[in-house]
Amino acid sequence: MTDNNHNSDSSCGFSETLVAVLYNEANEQESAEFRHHLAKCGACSEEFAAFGMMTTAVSDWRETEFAPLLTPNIVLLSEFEINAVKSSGEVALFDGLRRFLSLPQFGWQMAATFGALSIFMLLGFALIANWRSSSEKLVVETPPFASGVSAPSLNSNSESNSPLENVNVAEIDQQTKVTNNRIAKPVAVSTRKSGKAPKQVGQTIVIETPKRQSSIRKQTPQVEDIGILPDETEDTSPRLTDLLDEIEPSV
Amino acid sequence: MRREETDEKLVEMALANDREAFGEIVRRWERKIFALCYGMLHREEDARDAVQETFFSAYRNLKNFRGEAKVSSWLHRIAVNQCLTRMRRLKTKNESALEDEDENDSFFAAAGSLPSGAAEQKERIETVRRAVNALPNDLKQIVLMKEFEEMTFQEIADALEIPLSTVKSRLYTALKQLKMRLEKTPLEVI
Repeated sequence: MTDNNHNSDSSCGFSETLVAVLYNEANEQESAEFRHHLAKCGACSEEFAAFGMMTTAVSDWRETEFAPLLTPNIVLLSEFEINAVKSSGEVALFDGLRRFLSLPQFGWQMAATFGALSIFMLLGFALIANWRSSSEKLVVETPPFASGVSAPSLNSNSESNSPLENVNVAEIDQQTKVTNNRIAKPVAVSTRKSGKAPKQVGQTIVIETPKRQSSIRKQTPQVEDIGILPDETEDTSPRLTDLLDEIEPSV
Repeated sequence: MRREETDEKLVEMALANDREAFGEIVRRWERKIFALCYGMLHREEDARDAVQETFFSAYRNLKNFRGEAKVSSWLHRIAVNQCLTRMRRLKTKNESALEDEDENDSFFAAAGSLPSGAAEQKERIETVRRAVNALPNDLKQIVLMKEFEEMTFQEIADALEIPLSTVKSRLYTALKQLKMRLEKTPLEVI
């Protein structure tokens, strides 16, 4: 490393010493040798000065932009969370549980309110459906009787011991079936003539089911309006007076 | 006292389920790693994310840490990889305009219209930033470790696992390239 080795592209072999002196990390011997060389070599002096400007510029950049920045707060996950991350398939579960359990109080209140409202609505729907079905049954159980004729009890379990009522039940029931068949037929014929499937016309399915009576009652006009009531001349049901005569023959 | 423990000793303690030990490692290196990431990424948010990912990755892979390497080397390697990954991502998205600009145009100041005061300083810093960013990655890293992290030559050599003389020669080369690039701009500004 002599002055004769000066080259415009080199630092006379003092490159490492140059940067060490530049950053004050050279020992005393290295520093002395280098400064002695600088006194004799203009190129190295110029290069040393230019490098000084470079480091000053970079330091200025650091001081201006980086130095005011706060050191980021490094957040390390707990061992539990890290194990959860490592285990595939558990990440979503644990993360979801953690988020769910960390709901604020307001969130819990909203969830409880929503749950209660849902339950009440379901109960309401159930009650309404139950009420409708029970009201339909009441309609079905009432046979269509002509005006002026009192409807005897159709309840076979009636406490009445009158044999008259029991006989009436069977015959009236039969009549009811006949009547209902007469009511049903127009509906059945009309739907079939239209070519539509029964289920496509209102509640025509009811033809096949016990509920047809209530639906027919809803869809079709009242029996009295249709006038399908059996003609009095064709009424073959026993009269009350006749029955009474049988029981208590005129003396 | 944990502050007297070496980095390697702290890693051993951390592997023994001592979380405070790794916390001490974080406290020792978070600022330096942050400085390196900022110097490479030039954006505070990106640098913060890179630092977080660096230590998070290190914590997760503690078991994979080989005792023959130094902790500083290990952390710097992770940090540089994080930064390079983000730089590639940013380059793909065209968010970074620094690498795409013509280097010659960026170093010329408008003749007769030098900004003054803070604007002048900003212009100067921007010029230096671009010059450093244009360096090859190995040279840029040494410049950043020396200027931003303020590490000694020996610490840089330990972190990069290269000889001390290699660190000094690379720094010399980096400064020479910076000089060549910045010679196009009026040095009087600097």
